[in-house]
Amino acid sequence: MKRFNTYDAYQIRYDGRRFDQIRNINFKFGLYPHADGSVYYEQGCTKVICAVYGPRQSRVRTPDDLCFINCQFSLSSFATQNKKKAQRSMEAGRLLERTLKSVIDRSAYPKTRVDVFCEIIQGDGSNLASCINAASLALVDAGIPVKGVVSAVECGVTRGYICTDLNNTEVRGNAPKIVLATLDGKRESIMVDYKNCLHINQMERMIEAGFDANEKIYACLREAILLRTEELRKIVAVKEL
Amino acid sequence: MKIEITGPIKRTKPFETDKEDEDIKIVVPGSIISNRTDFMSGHGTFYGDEDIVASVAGSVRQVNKLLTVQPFKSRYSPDVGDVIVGRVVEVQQKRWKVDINSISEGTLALANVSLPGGELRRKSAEDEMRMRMYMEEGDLVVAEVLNVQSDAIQLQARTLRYGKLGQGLLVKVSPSLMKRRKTHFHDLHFGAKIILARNGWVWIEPPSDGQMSATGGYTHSDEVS
Repeated sequence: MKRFNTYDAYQIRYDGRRFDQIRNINFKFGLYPHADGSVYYEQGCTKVICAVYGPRQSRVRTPDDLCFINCQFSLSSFATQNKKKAQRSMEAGRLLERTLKSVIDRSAYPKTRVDVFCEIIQGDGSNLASCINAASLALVDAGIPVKGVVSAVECGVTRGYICTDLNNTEVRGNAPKIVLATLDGKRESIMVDYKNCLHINQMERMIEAGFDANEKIYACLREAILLRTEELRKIVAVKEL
Repeated sequence: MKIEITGPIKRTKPFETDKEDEDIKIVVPGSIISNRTDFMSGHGTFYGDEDIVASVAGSVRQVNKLLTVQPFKSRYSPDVGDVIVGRVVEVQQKRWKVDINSISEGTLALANVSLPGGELRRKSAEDEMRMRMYMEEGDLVVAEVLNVQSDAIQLQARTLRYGKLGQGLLVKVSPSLMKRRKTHFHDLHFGAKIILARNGWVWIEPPSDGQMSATGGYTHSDEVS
């Protein structure tokens, strides 16, 4: 398979970014009034809708009677250029579930469940990372107690250069890539998903680049939450008569 | 050749806040509120390594030494004595399970309901069989919170003002808009009645004739044909 470059002679990627730049982040909260928390999240051209229902009554019992977390990750049929039927990825759903399980305070609400539904309506790379970011925003919008704000980014290597926040053309092929999730922008990972083959010496550089990108994404998510909280405070504020 | 540098946008203040609101501190999950030695952590916070960290996004409230964070939008969390409007989802052996837009379903026991006709007597086995004739799945009921435990919310509908609801209109709003007041049952000046339940469900009833309210919405024919 012929390898093609995703950056030009000036080391600028084909969408105009440098190797360590993340894409523009856009968001809108409260899309679904029936859901406890919902957000429309854009990271560049990747568009994700996430809805969170919970905590609510559960018929399913977990060991130790903790809160049951159910995550669904689905890619719409019109989301990518390939002709595909709507797919529900079990593997990505489990990764999302494991990330959120380590962040939600499960013992606070025994015998309840939290349902997180992520739908990618346009997939332009970094699909799982965008879903984790969107789910994190939606959880905070729902008022569910969490240990912090989760941010995630997808990083890869092309010809020795480490690129962060991959888009669709960079994700293709069997180039090595990782999805790295951190909490509150700190330099500790809470989830790493690693694909394809990578030399052991390059792994540390990749993870460092992932941490740097996560700090930037966390700054954006934090702004988003502050804006939303101000907006909600304005709605709820009542002058005592 | 131009290079565009992107990052988080600087926040402008598009909302006007009152003077009293300026003092309220808004926090984000994961942000440190204060150190561990001076305060205790309440709802919406947890103990970090050496300090108290917020777990929801909201305003910080301090009562003596207790720090809590109140989220502006969340599911209804019941307090004892709250008036709520709920929808019956299940009829079990001696109780009804009621959906009240909270973390768990409410339980309305047969013993905590006043029988139609207004009499208070011990419920017999026949009353158990007749539970469905009074309320079944899909019916709306107005009740009061009796007791709140970690896994169950007990409701009671003993007095005549509580019980099954008849014809009317249900409007759902966010529970954080409903403040606790002396009374939640109001009569509008043109005859309609309104119930502002604490779980965010508002019930509007058309002007009724006196007969309906006395029986609590249950009619039973005693005629022998």
